[in-house]
Amino acid sequence: MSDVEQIYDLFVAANPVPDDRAITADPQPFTDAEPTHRTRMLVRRADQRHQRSWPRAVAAAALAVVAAGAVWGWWSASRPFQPAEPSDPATTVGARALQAVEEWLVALEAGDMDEVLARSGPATRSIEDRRVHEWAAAFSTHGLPTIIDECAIVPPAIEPISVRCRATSSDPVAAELGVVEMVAPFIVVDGLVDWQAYRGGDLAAVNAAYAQYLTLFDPTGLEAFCRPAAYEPGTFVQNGGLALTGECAALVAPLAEQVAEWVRNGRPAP
Amino acid sequence: MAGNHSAENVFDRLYRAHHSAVLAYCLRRLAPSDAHDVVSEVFTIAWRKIEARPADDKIRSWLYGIAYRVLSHHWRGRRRRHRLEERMAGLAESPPPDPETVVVRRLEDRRVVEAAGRLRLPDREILRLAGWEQLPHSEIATVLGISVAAVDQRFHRAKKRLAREYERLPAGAPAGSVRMREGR
Repeated sequence: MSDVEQIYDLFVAANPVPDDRAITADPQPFTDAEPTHRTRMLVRRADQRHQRSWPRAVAAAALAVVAAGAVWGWWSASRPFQPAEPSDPATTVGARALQAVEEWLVALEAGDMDEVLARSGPATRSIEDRRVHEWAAAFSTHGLPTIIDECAIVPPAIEPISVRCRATSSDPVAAELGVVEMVAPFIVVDGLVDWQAYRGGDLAAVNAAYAQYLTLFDPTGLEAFCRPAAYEPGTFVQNGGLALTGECAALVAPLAEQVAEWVRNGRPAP
Repeated sequence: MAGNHSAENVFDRLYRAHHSAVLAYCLRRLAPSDAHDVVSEVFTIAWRKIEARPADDKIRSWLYGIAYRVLSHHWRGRRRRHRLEERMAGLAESPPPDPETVVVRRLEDRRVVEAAGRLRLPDREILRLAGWEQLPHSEIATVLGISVAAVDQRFHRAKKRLAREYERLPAGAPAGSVRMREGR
């Protein structure tokens, strides 16, 4: 057995939870809740007398409502009037904007394009933006996400709110070309998010490397999925010679390691 | 997707059948305090998407795929929280230990887990899915949303990278930290 296999076996043996069946947590809590819309079919036995229990239930419910009303009335009368704490509007608006960006990113990571567009502002809800989102989501689902975090409001926190996040690429081609950390800017209005282009990284050079690799090693795939000519004008964004679409990303993302190695080796011709 | 059961019955059956597997998946990657929260989120998403679930033999991979995405998000948030804590005038507490930190006892375990922690997330995840979840490559492909050929290739490379990182670590020296660098 090679060293590689022996070391992998050590890793397998270091499994913190070797047996799923050893998990004894009771799954009951998730299913305890009674779904409110469940349909129940009651089957009465032939000898079962009809029992009209609902009048008693209605009477009990009515009594409970009256009692609760009385208690609430007494409590609110005995409590001195206290105005609500004034909230800091800037803080609240800023926190909501950050939350909106966070939820937008979750939808993007999940590849839920309908949700992404529903949470997008009108400036980035077009077909070409959808395709760019699909491009990003495809890289993510192929294990090469651009991690967006460290989001912060750019003062003042007045709508339209500008949010800037750190974007860290895990694409090995980007790493090879020195594109690792960038700035991901967002504009938030009414809880809707417009994603702006990354700043601080030459992504065109990264995309051009993919395009060049495909030209040499998979011209058919390039023509079919990544050439701008493969799409209707105005329905996509192009960068570095590639049409940034989900279809193109599905072709190039699995090649990332190979392309990175090819770049590292000086981009030799086949 | 077939069956005459209501969505609730289907979900109930799915939950009971796969809860342990999903919890084990999370416990292999997170501290127990976080694992239960993530499991709840995974099944909440599964409930929302119950009508889009795959065939029964693919359910486990489908749930692992959801868990992988939820965890990616969780790690990102956790990293942000830790940075915030660290900025708070030295008041930062150590984050709860990862399961690897708690469980690994033998020196070799420590060393190999630390070596795995030096790999990129996609490499590490493929090794875990194959070695810890014991998934065949076809199911790993479903979880990660990539082709089986890509899984074959990446698994082969990830094993070689693991061996390389393992050899780089000093033999016999106790590892200072075995926390995996999640999210990156």
